[in-house]
Amino acid sequence: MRWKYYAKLWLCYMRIGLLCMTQYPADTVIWLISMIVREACGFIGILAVASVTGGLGAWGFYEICLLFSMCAVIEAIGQAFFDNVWSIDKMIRWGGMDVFLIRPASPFVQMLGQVMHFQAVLSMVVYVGILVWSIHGIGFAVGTREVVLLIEYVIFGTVINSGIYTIFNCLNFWIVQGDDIAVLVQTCREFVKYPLQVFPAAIQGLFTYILPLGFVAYYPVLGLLGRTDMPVMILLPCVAALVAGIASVIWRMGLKGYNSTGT
Amino acid sequence: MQIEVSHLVKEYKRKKDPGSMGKALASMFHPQYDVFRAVDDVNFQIQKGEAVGYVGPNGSGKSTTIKMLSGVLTPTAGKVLVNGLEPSRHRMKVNKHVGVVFGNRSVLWWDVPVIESYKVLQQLYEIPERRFRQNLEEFSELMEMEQLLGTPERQLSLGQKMKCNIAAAFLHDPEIVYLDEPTIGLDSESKYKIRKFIQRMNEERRTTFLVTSHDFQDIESLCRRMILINHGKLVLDDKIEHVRKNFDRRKQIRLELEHNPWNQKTVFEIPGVGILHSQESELILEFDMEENDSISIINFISERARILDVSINGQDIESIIRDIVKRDNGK
Repeated sequence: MRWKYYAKLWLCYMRIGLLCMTQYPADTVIWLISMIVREACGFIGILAVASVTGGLGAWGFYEICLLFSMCAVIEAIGQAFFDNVWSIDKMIRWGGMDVFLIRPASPFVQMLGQVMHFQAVLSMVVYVGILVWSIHGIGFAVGTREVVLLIEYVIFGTVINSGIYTIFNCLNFWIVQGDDIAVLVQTCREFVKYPLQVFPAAIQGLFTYILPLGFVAYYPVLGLLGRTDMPVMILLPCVAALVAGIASVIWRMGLKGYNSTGT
Repeated sequence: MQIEVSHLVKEYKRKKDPGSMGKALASMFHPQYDVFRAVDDVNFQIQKGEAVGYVGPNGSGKSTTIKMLSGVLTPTAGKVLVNGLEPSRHRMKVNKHVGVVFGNRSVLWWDVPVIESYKVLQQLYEIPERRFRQNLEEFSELMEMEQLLGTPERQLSLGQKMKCNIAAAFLHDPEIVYLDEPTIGLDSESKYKIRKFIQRMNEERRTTFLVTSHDFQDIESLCRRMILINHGKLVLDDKIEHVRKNFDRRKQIRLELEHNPWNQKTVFEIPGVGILHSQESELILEFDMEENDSISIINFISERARILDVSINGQDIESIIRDIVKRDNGK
């Protein structure tokens, strides 16, 4: 890997992304609002219930807010920089991958760089605000351990989240028109916005071992609150490495088998 | 040799048409495939600086070949060598010195000024700033695209878009450029400019070209040599002038007659001469140069009618190729 080369290339793509956003200011505002509404709807209902009943199981109001915001921050990062994995399907069907393959750079990086949504960076600011506010509300002290855990969560949470999307979108290489699977995964993701404890063991197991979306926000939150014996700080990079490894293998296999559209 | 293709084969698997609803459901679990040979034992070699036209009807395997040359597809069998390397194994290394123009697909960003897209390409191919500037200047002068650089692609016309996409494929000084239908859907003025530009690159920079096109003027004006494939098989690989000499045997004579004795007739007296068109004062005949000659036909006619005007036409390259393909299909 040529890190310097790809870092410079990434900056070029970010420049294009920023320019694209400034081209349509009205669109940017609508995008921003719709993304925040998408993340918040459903959650606000739970929040209302929680504020009436005083919590959700062992979870207090601010703790639920913390989980929600941490979940949303990762999703926003994904939307900003890794959203084009959702187009893998279309690119395969219309032969769009050809353009990346004829160039001397990783097609994966080119595919990601093709589309960026800087609007999501704006919505992220809102979520970070909620995050800080929740931490303040819970009132725990933020020391070195917490900072390290937060940094780990941002990096590895993003890898896990976007890695899982990549894996399921890559399945399109074999099942052309397999967008449905990835959408199903994204719908399932709604679960991990809420404390997994309140769900049956099967669902907890699913999001821990099979589809480790629980590690995106839920387990880091448990770690922050000191509510678990699990070594979250060690588990996070391990799970991230595993997901990234699988995603990379599937992507490579897919590229090998990519037979274009024959036009 | 810069490009060497030997015994190249590419097979696609295509899902069989299930036929009935029940079978369609069954095929969701047990898909049945047809094997389809898009490229079938193709051999050719291209030298540095050559400009070669790669022609054939739709679906004859042209694009598939180009995709194998650029490493997008892996050959089922056979071998491709570009600058001595296999593109499917050393894709990035090979493609650093290759440019591709897709006539039906843009490589630029829709929403940002063209120059911004070029800047990404500059980083992608690691083009030194000075070289990048020089190329930009030269290209915008050659194709008159200076004002286009500051415009987002969505505001450009089809011809302008194509110019920008062609320039994009040359920014990194490629040694080889594959042009897949570079003038599809363009007006004659844009076509002319683009051809001029490609010719210039070929002459001055000795860039090797492989051009696929349905527009035979593209092929004729750009290339000296032509490779024809049909149903994935190589039919012909020769200089265009040879092709014209060897295959241009059918001539047409158009006569204007004061009174046409063959009016409404469909058979001409001399064997091997066909009537294409016959009206009150106009007669168009077609014949094979090897069987008949135009002088004796005209003499024959002048004994029977007064000739007001005569013109003799050979075939253009397009109809020559159509004939070759027709003959090949008939085999």
